[in-house]
Amino acid sequence: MEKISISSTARTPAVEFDPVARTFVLSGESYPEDPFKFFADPLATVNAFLEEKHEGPIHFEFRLTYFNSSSAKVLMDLFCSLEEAASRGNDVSVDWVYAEDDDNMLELGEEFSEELSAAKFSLKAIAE
Amino acid sequence: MDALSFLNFRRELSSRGIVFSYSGYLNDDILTGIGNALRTKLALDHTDAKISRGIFSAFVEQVQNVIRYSAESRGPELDEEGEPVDDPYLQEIRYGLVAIGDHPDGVRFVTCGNMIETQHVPRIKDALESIRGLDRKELTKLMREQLKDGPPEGSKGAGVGFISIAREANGRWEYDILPTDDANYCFFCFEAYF
Repeated sequence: MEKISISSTARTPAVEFDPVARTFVLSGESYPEDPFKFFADPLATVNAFLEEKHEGPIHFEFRLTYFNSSSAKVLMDLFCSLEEAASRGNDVSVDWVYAEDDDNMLELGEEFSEELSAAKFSLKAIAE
Repeated sequence: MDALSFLNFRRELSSRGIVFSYSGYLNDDILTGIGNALRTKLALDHTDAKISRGIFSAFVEQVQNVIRYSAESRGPELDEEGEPVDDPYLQEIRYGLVAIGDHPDGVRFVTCGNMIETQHVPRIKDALESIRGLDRKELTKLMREQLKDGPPEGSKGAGVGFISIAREANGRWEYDILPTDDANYCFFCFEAYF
């Protein structure tokens, strides 16, 4: 399985995935013309990774500052995959990182975390 | 050439508080372009960060609605296999109107209008009436539930665009649908307030 490293653009987030270190980071803004197309390849790899049983901890980090409603659907599907991976015995932790004055991202993080119970979830406020 | 009539056109827009307006065929490049100018204007005005984000978000969702669903569309041109041709200028564009501005009382608005097929009117009305009166918390919860259930039939996105706008606008939005001379089409207008 290969590493993924996609740089951010004005409308698409940066995607960093390392299957050996078992880490994933999504950061920036996400409102692509077609989110399903943008995320199709990287998430096919990530989902294949999550299907497997891993010995070490798996860490996913979300550092988004804005995403549109179609991207929210992609995130929801990814959260469901993370929960399934955890419920199959993987050690999955998810960090939702938001700027401390961004109540909107905090609310969205809280709402998305409703999908997680086997996976560990943390909200992390950072100073801008 | 009559500059006065065009100046009067601008005055008409200004009298409605409109700062940004576009009427014509839209595609994603227009969304990016107006979006950048809008964010620049909001930043230069030192607009409150929450209000700026809400306005920008409502703009993105509403313009994407026009780009995906306006009943007045052109393109793309198709090849013999029925696939879009490989030419950046022969792709799909859809007609709609966008206006962003502020009323004298300080309330800012993001408005979009486009033609819709009359057969879709009941579905759109039902969807919007079902979220009328919901507050931000209720809309956030509903958004998650709908994202999980998957998009309704006929949706090209997540099917939560209006819920998302209503949420950002803290439940302050309105819509109207007018019949047109052509019984097959109605004019749909949606406005969010910040």
